[in-house]
Amino acid sequence: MEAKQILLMKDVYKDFPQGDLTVNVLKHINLNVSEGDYVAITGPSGSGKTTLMNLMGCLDTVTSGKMIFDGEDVSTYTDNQLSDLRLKKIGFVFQTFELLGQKTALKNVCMPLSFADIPKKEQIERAEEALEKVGLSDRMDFRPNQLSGGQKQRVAIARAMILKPRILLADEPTGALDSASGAQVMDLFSKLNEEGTTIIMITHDRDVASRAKRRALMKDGILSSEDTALVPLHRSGEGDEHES
Amino acid sequence: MKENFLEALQEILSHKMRSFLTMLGVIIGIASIISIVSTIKGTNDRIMQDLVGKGNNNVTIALYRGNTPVDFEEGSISGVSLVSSGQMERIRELDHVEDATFFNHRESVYNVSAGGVLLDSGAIYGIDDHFLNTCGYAVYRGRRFVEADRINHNKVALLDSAASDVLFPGRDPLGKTIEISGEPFIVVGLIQKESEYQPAIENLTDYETYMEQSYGMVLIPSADWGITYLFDEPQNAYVRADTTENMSAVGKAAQKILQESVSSSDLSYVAEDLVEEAKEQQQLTASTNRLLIWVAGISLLVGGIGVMNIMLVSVTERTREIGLRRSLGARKRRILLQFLTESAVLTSLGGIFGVLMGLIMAQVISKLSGVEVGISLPAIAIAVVFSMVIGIVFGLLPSIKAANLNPIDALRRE
Repeated sequence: MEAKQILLMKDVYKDFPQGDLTVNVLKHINLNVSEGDYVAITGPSGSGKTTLMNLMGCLDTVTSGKMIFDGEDVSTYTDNQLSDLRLKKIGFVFQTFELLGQKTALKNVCMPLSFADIPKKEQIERAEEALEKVGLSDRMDFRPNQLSGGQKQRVAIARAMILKPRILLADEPTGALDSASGAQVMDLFSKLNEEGTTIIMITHDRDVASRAKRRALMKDGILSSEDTALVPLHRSGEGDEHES
Repeated sequence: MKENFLEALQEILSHKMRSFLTMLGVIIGIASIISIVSTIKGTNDRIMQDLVGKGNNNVTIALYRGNTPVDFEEGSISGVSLVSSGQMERIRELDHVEDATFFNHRESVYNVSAGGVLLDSGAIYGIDDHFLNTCGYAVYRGRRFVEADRINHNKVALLDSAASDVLFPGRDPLGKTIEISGEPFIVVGLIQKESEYQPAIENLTDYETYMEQSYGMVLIPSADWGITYLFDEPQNAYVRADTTENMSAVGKAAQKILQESVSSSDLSYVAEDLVEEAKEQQQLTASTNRLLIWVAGISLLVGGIGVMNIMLVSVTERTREIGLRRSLGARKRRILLQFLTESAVLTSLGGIFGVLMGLIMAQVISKLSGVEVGISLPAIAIAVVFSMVIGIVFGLLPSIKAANLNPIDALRRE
């Protein structure tokens, strides 16, 4: 049985204005991610990885092309629709964790729940459960500056997973960690993927990338892969229509 | 909303020094307004009390010729018949009237003496049975006038302590004789103000005013007025209302009844409306102080601009936080409300501290200047609400700026 398609990018371009010029950051991106996939995207810095990540995370909109998220064309979504989509269907994990310093681990995990207007009592229960799952039940009332890097990243993962998103997006999740805690985080990712979470990860690290099931390479704004199911080959001639 | 509020409070408390300095403008503005308003209220209460009298809600209704009270020394006055007992009863039975007295009097006397000693300053009254009660006097020694005094035209008199001190220095005046225009009167009693009618005396000016009022009072039965003055002299009246608020109405109603006795066109009974007079004086002080409130208002404006400035800094500082919240799925509106709540809570706290400081300042002013202060609850409520409004108005621009941050730029910012 064919797995359900979650994210489809078809012929996507992303331009940024820079003074009078327009810079093509992403060119002719095709990507097809299905439910349960574990994808690693590697590539040198400046190749457009982060821009691709922002598009996949619905933080930004495409210049041209089509982006289908969970069966819906999001390229024409309003700001509020995109916010709600991020809240309910996407989990983010960042290189620098992005925890709020004045909040405890528990309160950090509660944030998406409060955006979803879930009652306070239920927020606490669910956040406690999520922190238990990442092995931090004894660190719930600690503030980020009382936690190690690995612990912080696990809090961030608990936060990303709290509303059971369709997709988990990770931008260099081990970039700021030592190899031991990096490995811990990667184990956690594998476990989440085994439980059915779709993961897309951006990384420099070949070892980290090797843990993913499928891999693609970003170079000069072009995404390529030997895995043609993941990155469908465009037919020749197509895509050259785009004015740059 | 509650969560927003708690989060805002947490954010404010995490920067105590900065929050306090930001609030300072609002605190000073609100504190000055509250202390000014309290002082106005205190002054107004005081004017009302001084002019109208504490607890003694007496309205004087006097016979006027044109705009001036009639001087009964001028001699016989035609065109006014004596107030009938029917009129008196009708006045006493008016709504809100506690008692009324009808009397003849001279404000300054030079015809009262005892053993060759002249009462150089004082007043003489020809009184009915209601006078002592209406004016709040009590006989503390001897007796009051009785029915027999009226029927027999007994020549008896009551003195207050000021008069007895002058006429009988160091001696007991009871049973002694005083002369009024050469006619002998026997002193049968001594009177004093009942304590509940004592005016508030807090400084020297009050004391002097009080002493002038209580300078030498000689009372004789109204039946005896004709012995020393004219039998048909028109009477004035004191009418005591149940409350200060009812004084004006009671005075007008009684004035109307008394006016029935007047047939001359240039004479009229006039109720001396002290309440109106007090209100005019209050307005005068209030209008000077209203100017001060505007000045204090400027410090609130400056305070508001300070709040806006700090909120703008705070938005810049917390760009990454905003970016994170947006990427986790917070709508723009939620960011807007977060910052708006923070700003409103900040200035409301400033308002509350300002009110407390204002009340303390008002007490200090009161101690230093002797002006009483009154606490106005509506003013306090308005001050707190107004400071919240300042937070919302001046927090709007920074909040909109925060809400409109692009999440990508916000996250990228180091």
